[in-house]
Amino acid sequence: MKISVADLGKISFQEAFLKQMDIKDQIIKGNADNTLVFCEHPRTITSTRHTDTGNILDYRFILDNDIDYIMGVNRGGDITYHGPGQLMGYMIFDLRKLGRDLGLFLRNMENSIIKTLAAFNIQARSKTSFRGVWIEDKKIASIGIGVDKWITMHGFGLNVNTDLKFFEIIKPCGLDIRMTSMKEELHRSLDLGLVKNEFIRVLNDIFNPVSLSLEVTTELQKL
Amino acid sequence: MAEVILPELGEGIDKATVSYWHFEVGQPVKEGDDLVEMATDKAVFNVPSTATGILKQKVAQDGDEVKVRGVLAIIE
Repeated sequence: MKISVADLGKISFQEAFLKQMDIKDQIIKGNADNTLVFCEHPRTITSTRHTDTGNILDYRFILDNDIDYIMGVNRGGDITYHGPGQLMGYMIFDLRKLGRDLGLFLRNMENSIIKTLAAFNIQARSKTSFRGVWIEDKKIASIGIGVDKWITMHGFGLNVNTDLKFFEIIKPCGLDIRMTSMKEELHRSLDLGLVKNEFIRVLNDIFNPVSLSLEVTTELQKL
Repeated sequence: MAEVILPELGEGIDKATVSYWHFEVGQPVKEGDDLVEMATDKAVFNVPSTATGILKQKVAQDGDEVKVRGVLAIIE
């Protein structure tokens, strides 16, 4: 198994989605490897097909502050917020070559986040009944993927330096929960680059690919 | 007649919920067409039709929880 890593920097949710679709199509054709895409989005709310509109608590704030609102995203989970300081990790992986084991893939994703946090002395865990990565009763990372023809899309959003007040305009994930971030837990801002590097190191350990190639550019040059 | 079943989903996932049917009963479908969207707590995925024919019956309805290897639909 090979993994390519691409860092798209600051990019809209919509643009990142189109890139994921391109990568997925190339993987299906055999022209691309499993790919991890890092990026950050401008302030954006995303929801899924079955999101209860009651999970938006302040529509006026969304309109008045030019926050993008994208509905019907093809991923698991419910409504959530993305924004500056939140590290998005989109994992476009070919499960046909990973035993079609969706459960193991999700566990490996969660464990990659948990071990990354541990490297920064943050003890986190997954919960059986509630998706995502948690520090006690506070959620630090959200997880939601879509699978098409056994190719995964979307992935996780890890709150590194995210301004958590924007989660107050929604009911995150449709739950009455508190959100947290690495900044809040460590009482200091972090360089997203350090977090990305650690995640890549952990990913290499957990997925144990034959090769791990890095393309730290603002564009995916192959596509 | 062909049954469309919920495939094995791997470690720790033994069921999924019907999220959205892409076809209605009586409509023609081709083998490989995405027939129904299923959801777990962290993932959504499409189950393709295993045959070409007419969607005869939706065995599982929107919101139904289906166990792995359970029957989702009948194609004739």
